[in-house]
Amino acid sequence: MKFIVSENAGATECGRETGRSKVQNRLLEAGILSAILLGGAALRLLYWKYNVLIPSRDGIGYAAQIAAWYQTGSFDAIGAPLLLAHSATPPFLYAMGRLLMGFGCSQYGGVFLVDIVFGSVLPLVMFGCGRRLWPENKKLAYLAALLTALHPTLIAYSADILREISFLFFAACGFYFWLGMLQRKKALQALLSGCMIAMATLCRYEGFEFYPIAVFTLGISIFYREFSWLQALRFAGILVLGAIAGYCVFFWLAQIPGDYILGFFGKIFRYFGMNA
Amino acid sequence: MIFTLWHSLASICDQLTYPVALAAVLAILWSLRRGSWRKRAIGCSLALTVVFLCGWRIVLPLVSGRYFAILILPAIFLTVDFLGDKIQKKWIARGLWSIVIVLMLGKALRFTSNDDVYFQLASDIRHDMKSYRRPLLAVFSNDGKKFDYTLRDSDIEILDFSFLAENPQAHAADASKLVQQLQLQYDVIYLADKKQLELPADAAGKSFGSTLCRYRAGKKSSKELIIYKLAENRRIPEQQFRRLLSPDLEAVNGSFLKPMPEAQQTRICRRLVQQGFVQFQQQDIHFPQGWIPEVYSESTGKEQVFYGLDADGGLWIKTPNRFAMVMEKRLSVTEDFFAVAVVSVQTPVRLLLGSYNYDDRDGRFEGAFLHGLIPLAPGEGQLVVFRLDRESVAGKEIHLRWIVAGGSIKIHHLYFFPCRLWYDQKDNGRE
Repeated sequence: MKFIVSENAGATECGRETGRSKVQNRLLEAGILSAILLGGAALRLLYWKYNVLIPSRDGIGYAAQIAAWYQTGSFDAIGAPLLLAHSATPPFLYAMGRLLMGFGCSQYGGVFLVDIVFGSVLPLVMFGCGRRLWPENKKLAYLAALLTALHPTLIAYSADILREISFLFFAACGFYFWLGMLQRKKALQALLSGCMIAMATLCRYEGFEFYPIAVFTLGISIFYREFSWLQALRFAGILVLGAIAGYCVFFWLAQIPGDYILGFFGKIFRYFGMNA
Repeated sequence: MIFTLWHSLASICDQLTYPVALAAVLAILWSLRRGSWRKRAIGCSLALTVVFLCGWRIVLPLVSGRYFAILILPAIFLTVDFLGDKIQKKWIARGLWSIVIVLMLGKALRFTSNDDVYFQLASDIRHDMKSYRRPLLAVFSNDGKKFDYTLRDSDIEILDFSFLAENPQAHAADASKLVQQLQLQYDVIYLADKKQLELPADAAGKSFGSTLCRYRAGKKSSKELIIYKLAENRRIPEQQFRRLLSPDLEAVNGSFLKPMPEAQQTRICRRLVQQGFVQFQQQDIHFPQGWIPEVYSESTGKEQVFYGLDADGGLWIKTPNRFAMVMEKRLSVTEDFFAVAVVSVQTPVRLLLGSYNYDDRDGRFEGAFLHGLIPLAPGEGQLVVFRLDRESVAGKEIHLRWIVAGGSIKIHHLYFFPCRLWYDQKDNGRE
């Protein structure tokens, strides 16, 4: 067996000697990932240009509400805050749309930009999740990123004014950090996982289902003796702290009124009765 | 239950796309057969996560496929695991991957939007409405938002009538009657729908409208999008009409200056509190004499209803659903009447004119009817005119109902007087 003798000797892939240096390997990997991300972004832009002549019905409504908030400077302009909370659209998309209108984007253009960016970066997050799921096989992570970049439903969600793609982005990020918490037992991973789950709930209410999932996976880890009771409780607490921090920072930055916040959390208890 | 299950599975396949859904199912079956997922906590956790995510979505009747979007992520991991790792023969795995990627790309690059037809319709409407000062587009299909978007830079007002199908109280008033009311407010009305509408007609049955344009709703669709045009000039010139209005023409206590008797007020407040509107427990709530409030709200929105009466007249109403003021006096309508409101609107609202009808022979209650609906944008001192034709209430006695739907409004005055007063004034050249 031939070995390359140099300071970068030993570059292997899947346990196979490749003939490339580590730097070359890294460049190749970055190139492949960049090609997947850029290809996914190009597909989304093509789809947006040729297939989304008019935004979705919901999207037109969101854009009108964003414009009302931006023009009046008051969240109340979206609808009475409690009414909005009862109806009620989680505010992440509104906040992002309003922020981008402040930078000169239109009420439609800003939110399109948000969705296309989240949709284009999602394959990168899926790559990261793949690296954690299959640490021995990098190829599978690339395939996960590729499939995410090419998935037609994800492309369609990215190219319209919808809340789904930002929800999926934060859900994937939450999953990434949650895997890190389970595998590496690092508090920071738990904290970031909580933050990302909180952001996912601020996009769609279904994000709240990730909290019981996170808790029962810790319970399973105790059952398998991969975590002690104390460790599991500690990480559960850090996850919750991370979520609270995520909510606080978002509500403060976006200047969401207090009565809306109460209505937002109150709706969880009525969710399945209202929307199902 | 079976239907819900089938619908959910169809939605899942639609969201995941069939190749990924099939690969994910095969991955699950493979894992169940091998049992390797049970060996480690993470495998077990992922398995239970998938069961939890799918479980409640399959059994609940979810109307939108977007609730299943989250399943795309685990489906991608399952597909990758199955096609990338489990299939031993590389050429089979590569062949399957090629098929999946080609199918994904094929679907992603299939541009099937039919929305260009809305731009054509909008262009036709823009061109036609140039000669009219106050045009309206009334949309009877569920395309109101698309017309909002394509006509957003024009001066036309757009009214979405698709709610008629959802509103049980409106079943007694057909589109034709509502549109006739709107003709008092607008120079021209365009009606958009996907089927033949019954256009308003005169006594001889001659239709007032014509077809402006029609387009196929999509390349493969059998439906047509049709725009009808009503340009019969029935709009009441507002400035001249305002000069007619005087306190003599007000409805009973139409400025709301006289308060309701204490005992009656207490009874009404108690009824509203029992219905869950606890804000009416306050001591400083006053109702005007001759007007009975009726409040409708979903169980979760009761606290959002706001009502107030200014000392110098004027009713404040804010509601997420509907708030009606019902005229206590029962009227027998023997000629055509105008019902007019002067209002100031804070947030967009709909103002409706309805009535409770009773048979004038035996007093039997016949039901609630809707006579007109006007959408109102924010603005001060707006004039809203409804016409109550005697034919629509012939042989009946009515309690008029002014209904505020979904918004915030102040009603300054309510008028109710015979149409002949206006037409006599016009004929005598006193405009």
